[in-house]
Amino acid sequence: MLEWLELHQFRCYDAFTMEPDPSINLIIGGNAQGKTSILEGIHTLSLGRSYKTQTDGPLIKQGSDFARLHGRVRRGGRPQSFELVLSHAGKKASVNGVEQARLSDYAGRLRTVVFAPEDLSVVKGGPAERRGFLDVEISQLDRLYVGHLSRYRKLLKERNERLKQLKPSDTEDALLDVLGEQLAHYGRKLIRARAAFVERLSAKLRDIHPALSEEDDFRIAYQPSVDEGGHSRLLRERRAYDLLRGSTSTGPHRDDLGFYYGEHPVREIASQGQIRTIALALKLAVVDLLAEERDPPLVLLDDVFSELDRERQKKLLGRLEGGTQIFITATDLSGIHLDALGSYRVFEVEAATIKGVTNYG
Amino acid sequence: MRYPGVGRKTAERFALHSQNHFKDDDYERFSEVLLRVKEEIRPCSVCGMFTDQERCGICRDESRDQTRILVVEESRDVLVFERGGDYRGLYHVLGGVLSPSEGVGPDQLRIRELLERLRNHAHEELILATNLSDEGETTALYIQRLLKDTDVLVTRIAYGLPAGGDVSYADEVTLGKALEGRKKI
Repeated sequence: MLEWLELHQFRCYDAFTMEPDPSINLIIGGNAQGKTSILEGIHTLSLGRSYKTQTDGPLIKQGSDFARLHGRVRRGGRPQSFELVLSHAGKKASVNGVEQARLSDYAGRLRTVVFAPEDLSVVKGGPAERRGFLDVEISQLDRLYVGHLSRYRKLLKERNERLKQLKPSDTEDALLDVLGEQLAHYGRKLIRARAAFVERLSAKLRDIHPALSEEDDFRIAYQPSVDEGGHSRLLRERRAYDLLRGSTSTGPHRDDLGFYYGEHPVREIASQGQIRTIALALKLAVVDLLAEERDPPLVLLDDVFSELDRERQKKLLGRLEGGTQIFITATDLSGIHLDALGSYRVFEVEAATIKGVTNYG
Repeated sequence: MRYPGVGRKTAERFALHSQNHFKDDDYERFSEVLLRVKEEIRPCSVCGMFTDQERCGICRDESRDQTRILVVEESRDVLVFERGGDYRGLYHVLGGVLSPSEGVGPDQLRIRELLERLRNHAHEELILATNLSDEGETTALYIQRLLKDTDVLVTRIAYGLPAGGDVSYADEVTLGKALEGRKKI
C-alpha cells in the first residue's frame, strides 16, 4: 500500500505530495490539469518506466535536469521507501536508501497494473501492442524475463546488422550461425515464459470475462512465431530470405496473441463496448495473477472508470476487493457511482496542484 | 582530446599541479615520453599486445608454455593476467569484440592472425577469456566454431562467483552460470 507519494520536477509537477487512502482514491479535475501525470508517476515509480512514453525525456519537467519520484510503501507493518531519479543521462533507483545496481533489481518490487484508454489497442492494434502487453506484465511476475528480453533484443539487432552487411549470396557465415544460436537460446526462454503466462491468464479469464460480458466463449491464444525448440533450425532454413530482406523473419519478436469468440477473431466482430470489456478483463486477470503470488498490486484506473456503466463499475470494484489500493482519475464525480465505493478519498486537481482533499465513507 | 575517467575537477588539479610543481626538464621529459608512446609503441607482430619491439617480451620469453594461447579482448587484459601470475602461456589480443551493430566484424579483429598462428605452430590449447558480455560470448563462440574441425582444444574460462563472494548476494545470472560450470571436488 502506497501511503506517501512525492513527485519533483515530474511532468507538470514542481513539488507534489500526496497521502493516499489505503483503499480508493479519486483524482478529479478538468482536462490537462495533471490527473494522469499522478498515475503515470506512480507507475513510473513502480516499474522504472512510464506506460505513456518509451523514453524518460518527456517525464522530466521542462527546464529541469532531472525528476525525482519518492514513495513510502507499507506492507505487513514495515514501511519501505522507493526512490527513482530520472535524468537525461539515465536513471537511478533505490530501495530504503540503497541504490540498485540494475533496474531489473528494482522494477517489480512495487507492482502496479494500469487500466488506461491505451489498453484498447492491445485488442484492436497490431501485434507489437500485444507483445508490449505480454512483456510488461510478465516482467512483473518473472524477474528473469526482463534480462532475457533485453538480451534477445540486443542479439536481434546484431543479427539484423550482420544480415545487412553481408551479400545475399553469403549464406555460409559462422558469425550468423553463432548469433542465430544465441538468439534462439534467449528466444526459447521468452517463448516458454509467454506460453506459461498466457496459460495462467486464460484460466483467470474463463472466470472473469463471463462475469463482465454476455459472450461466454471468449478465449485467448498465444501465437508464437516459432516452436520453442525449432527456432535455431528455422533461422538456418530462412537465412537466404533473411539475407535478402536484411532482417530476421522469425522469432518471438514476431509473436502475437489471438482473441476469439469461439473460433471467430474478436477484431472482426466485436463492438467498441465488447473490446473495452476484453481490455478490462485482461487487466483484471493480471491483477489476480499478481495478487496470487504476493500482495495485490496497486491498481491505476486512468480515465476508464467513468466510461463504464453502473453495473460494470460495481463488478470491477467487486473483483478488486481484498486490500487492493485503487487510484481512479475522472473529470468529475458525476460519472462515478459513489454508492458502490464504500470509503474513499477525493483529491481535486487543478493546474498541477491539489486544491482539496475530502474523505468519504 | 580527453582522457577517460578524468573529469573537470581532476583535469584542473593536473593542470595546476604541473604549473606549480613541474620543472623545465619535467616538461621536456613529459613531452618526450608522450612522443615516444606515439613513435615506439606498437602492437606485437605475433600476439597484438603493445610493445616497443617487433615481438613483445612475452612472445620472446622461451621459458613460457608455448603450447597454450589465451585469447583476450584488450591489451590491458594481458596486464591483469600477468599480475595474477598463474598463467604462464602465451596470449592473443583480439583488439575488441564482435559487434555488427558497432561495425565490428571478424575482419576488424585480429582473428585472421590468430588462425595463422594456430596453423603455423602446434599449439595444443586455446583458452577463450573474452568478457561475459553478450559480445564477449558471441566472439568466443565464433572462434570456437572456426576451430571445431581442428585438433586444437578450445576452452572457455569459468564463470561464477568472485573470490570471497557471497552466494546470497549473487545475481541470478551469475548463480546460473556458476551452477552450469560447477566441478567435482
